[in-house]
Amino acid sequence: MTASDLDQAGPAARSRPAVAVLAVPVVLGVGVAVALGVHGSLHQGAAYGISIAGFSSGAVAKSWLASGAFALAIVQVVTGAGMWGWFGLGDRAWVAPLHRWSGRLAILATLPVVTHCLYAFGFEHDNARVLAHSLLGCLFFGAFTTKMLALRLRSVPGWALPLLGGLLFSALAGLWLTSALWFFTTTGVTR
Amino acid sequence: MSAASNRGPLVTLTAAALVGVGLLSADALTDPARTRVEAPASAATTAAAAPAAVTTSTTAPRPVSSASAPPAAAATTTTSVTTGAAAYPAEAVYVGRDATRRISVAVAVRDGKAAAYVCDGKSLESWLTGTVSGTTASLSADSDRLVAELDAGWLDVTGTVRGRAVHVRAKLGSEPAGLYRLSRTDGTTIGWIVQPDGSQVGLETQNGRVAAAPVLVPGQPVTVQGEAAYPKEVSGDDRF
Repeated sequence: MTASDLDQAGPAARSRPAVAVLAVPVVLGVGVAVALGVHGSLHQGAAYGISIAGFSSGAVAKSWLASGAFALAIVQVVTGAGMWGWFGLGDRAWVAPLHRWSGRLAILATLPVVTHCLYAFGFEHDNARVLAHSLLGCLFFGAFTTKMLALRLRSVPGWALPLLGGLLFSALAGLWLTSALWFFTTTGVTR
Repeated sequence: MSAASNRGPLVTLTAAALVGVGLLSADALTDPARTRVEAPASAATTAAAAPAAVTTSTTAPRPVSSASAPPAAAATTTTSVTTGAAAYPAEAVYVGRDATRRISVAVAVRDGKAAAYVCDGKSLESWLTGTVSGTTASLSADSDRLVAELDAGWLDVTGTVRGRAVHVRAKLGSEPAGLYRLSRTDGTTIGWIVQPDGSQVGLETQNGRVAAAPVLVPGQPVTVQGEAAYPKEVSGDDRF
């Protein structure tokens, strides 16, 4: 299948599928979000994590990885909207593969960050920033799960994928604002 | 839709889950605190059981002590295990805040010695020093007292500082979290406690005058009275 097939499989081509088809992806996504939150709450923060080469500290490495993921997320929004015909990208063959691969890279970049957060800190509510970050982290991976599963459905309501994509982007933007941007502005932009 | 592209999202999801679990496992397997905390805990059980029956303990199916060793050797083993049960790492720093989030505490330990700093970032501060015995560190300075007890990986810190009761559950910190101090010949002393979440409190004192500490970026100099100065990470055997 080509990217343009996918475009035509967009909102217009679909015959009003029932919202109910989203039940399983949504339930599993919520399950992932809740499981992450519960794991983070029950697991005692170890204040330790494996280190990533090339950075002066784990916080710096995480901030850069999160920034990379956020930059890729902007690519995600543009290419995602492009697949729905925006920006005159509707008939470009490279849009869908770029969307898929920038998404995979973005998720890959977030994995060392979230595992460090979970292992070293856990779910915390020390202050509004940390609480928001913890909640957004759970939301992000829950929404990611739901979106990946929803993509496999034969037909979903036309608003579902843009909504999930928008949710993913918003959550990641919030995560970045409450972590990397906060770190860079309080500690300075370092390597 | 071709089967391959339809399977893509599932492959992505599975791969992400596997990498995530792999990274978490790597954290767990290489965590120095885990080996430190868990190994001595089992050792402590051994030590507690041993004195009750020193002679029979030698024949107990315990892989560490040689089964045929005479009682004397078993006793030696027990003693060394007991001292080794100091679940404190050879060198570590624990940081935390009290329930009201007003008072921060950092306790550094090194080779049986401990140093601590208590600070509210406004007016209350105290530098304490002391020793470590088993799972307990006892620290003092003038009339200030702190007792730090290891409890399942946490450090339970209780005591009195400047007449105020202090109770903090501290956790093992890794850089940049920790305790930092700058002491200058003009009598200026600055202390900082950096929490694992990156937040910090500190106070600057000079001959009894107390002021807010400049922002500390661990590893970088701070400017004190127009001069660059390098704060130092406090170690358990530092004395103030």
